Amino acid sequence: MQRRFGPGSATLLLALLVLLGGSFYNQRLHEAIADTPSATERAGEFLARAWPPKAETAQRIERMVQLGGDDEARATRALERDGAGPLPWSARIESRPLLPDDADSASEAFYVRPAGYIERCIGLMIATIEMAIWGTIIALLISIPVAFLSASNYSFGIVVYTLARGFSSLMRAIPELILALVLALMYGFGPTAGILALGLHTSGFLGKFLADDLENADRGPQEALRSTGANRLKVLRMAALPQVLPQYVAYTQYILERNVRTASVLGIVGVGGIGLELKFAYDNGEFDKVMTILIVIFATVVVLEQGTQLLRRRLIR
Amino acid sequence: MIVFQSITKRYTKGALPALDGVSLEVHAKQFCVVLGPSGSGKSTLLRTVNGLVRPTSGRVLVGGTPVLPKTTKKVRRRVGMIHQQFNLVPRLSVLDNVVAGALPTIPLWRVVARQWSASLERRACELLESVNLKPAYLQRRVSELSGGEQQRVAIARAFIAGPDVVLADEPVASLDPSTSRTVLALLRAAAEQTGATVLCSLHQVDLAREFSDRIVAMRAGEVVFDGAPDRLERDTVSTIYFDRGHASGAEPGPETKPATGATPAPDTAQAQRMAAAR
Repeated sequence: MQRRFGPGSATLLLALLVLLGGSFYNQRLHEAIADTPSATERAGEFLARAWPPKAETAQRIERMVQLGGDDEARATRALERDGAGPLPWSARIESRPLLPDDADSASEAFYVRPAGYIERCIGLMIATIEMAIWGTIIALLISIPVAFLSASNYSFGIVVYTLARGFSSLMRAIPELILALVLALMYGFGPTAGILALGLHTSGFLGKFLADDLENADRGPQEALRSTGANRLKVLRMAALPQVLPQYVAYTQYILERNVRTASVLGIVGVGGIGLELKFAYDNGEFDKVMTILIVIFATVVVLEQGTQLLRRRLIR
Repeated sequence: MIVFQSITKRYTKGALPALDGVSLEVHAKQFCVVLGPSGSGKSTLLRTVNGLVRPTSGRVLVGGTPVLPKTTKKVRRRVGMIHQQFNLVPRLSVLDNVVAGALPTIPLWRVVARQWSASLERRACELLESVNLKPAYLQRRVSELSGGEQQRVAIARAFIAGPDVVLADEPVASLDPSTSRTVLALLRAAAEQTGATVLCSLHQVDLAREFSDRIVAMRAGEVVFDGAPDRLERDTVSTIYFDRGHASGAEPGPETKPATGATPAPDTAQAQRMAAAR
């Protein structure tokens, strides 16, 4: 007989009903819900503060106050005379009234870069990607020997096998945020801690994936080469590696992508990169900046995925 | 060349033995075919020669060297092997696959970089030519080749290290009849050229008769016939493949049915099909 709903689902349904029923009679909860703005209202509130995303940077030029008239041109000339050289093509000097609502009020000169904040975010994102790439390289370097030792058909005895598998599990078990915090104590707040945290954590993944693939690879070719009398390193290179390599490249691609995402978050614990900027912007309530940062991260992840996809197609014929 | 001294092999304790006290002596340069239905112990017998299977009791000598865990690597360098499923490395080129047969003699850095010495490549080309594969195939992936071509690559691989003994574990079981004949002829030619001893397990009685110097027939882990191919008679074939009680009958025993694709006896229908295929 086929049962559609097991006893588990019946219990779950009952519990749900009790909860719903209970809350229906809970007057205080009712009032609380009535007072709380709805989810859409809250999202709208956030979007109103975060949109439009911040693109420009404007820096007040103190000594230009009260120049009046054509102070924009003068300020530019003054800057050039002071040895700052010609302004970069993307920058300009702009005078803005002190009181935004009153056009006749005294004005101030600003050094404005229309895409300055985006440029800053992209710079930080590149630093973050660098962190992710180094983390991935470290993960590769650690995971290949570890995978070799934790594949039951290539390892040296049960002790080495268990140790290698244990290492991979341990590395996977510690969240990279915690790992980064601990490493920051050792190496100070900076990219070193972030890179090591990413590398160690993802080496656990790569090590396990590669080891499992080595164990599951077609035994026939491996046995054929083993029966020529070759040692296991040569058999690994000639029979097992060609079989698992395409998959391994795919894993590495995923890990790189993942590391970029994680590196963005890792900044929050103080290892630098775009995450730190995100945290500052968030803590200051500058949600337009937060929005810009989020867009940059999103665009990076999309571009990176396309890029690595292309690379992969080249590598694996 | 190969001496089996009362080999017994039980895969699990108390189970029926896969090999039950087999004693044989295969002379140098002999092309010896081991015949028998599935599960008769042919593969196990072959695999004891290069230490892929360790006998429960008894011992195997290859060129006077006993096959023991200590000596296995030494023995394996002198023994080539051909498998039923070809067992080529799928994503590598034909050249790489042939060269892989000589792995123990190649320095590790060459293996890691997959850079072969000119002399080794030349030897691989010669071997591929001798199994009728065009030089244009050299850089092609083995997965693009047909079954017969793949098995010819495997033959080249087995011979590249200049072995004294070549084991062929049902080399033609997954090939069609005409390709089987070609592959066996090439195997035999290669063995004659290099003076290697061949121990080859087969399902097909007619092919065994055609290509072997000697036939060893097995049944349930025991040798039931050993002699020149022309001495193998129809009755003996029935004894190998069918229950003794039905020696003359056409009804196969429940657990001794010949494997699919095999030719239990050169029977009329099968023989006609073979003739047509030729």
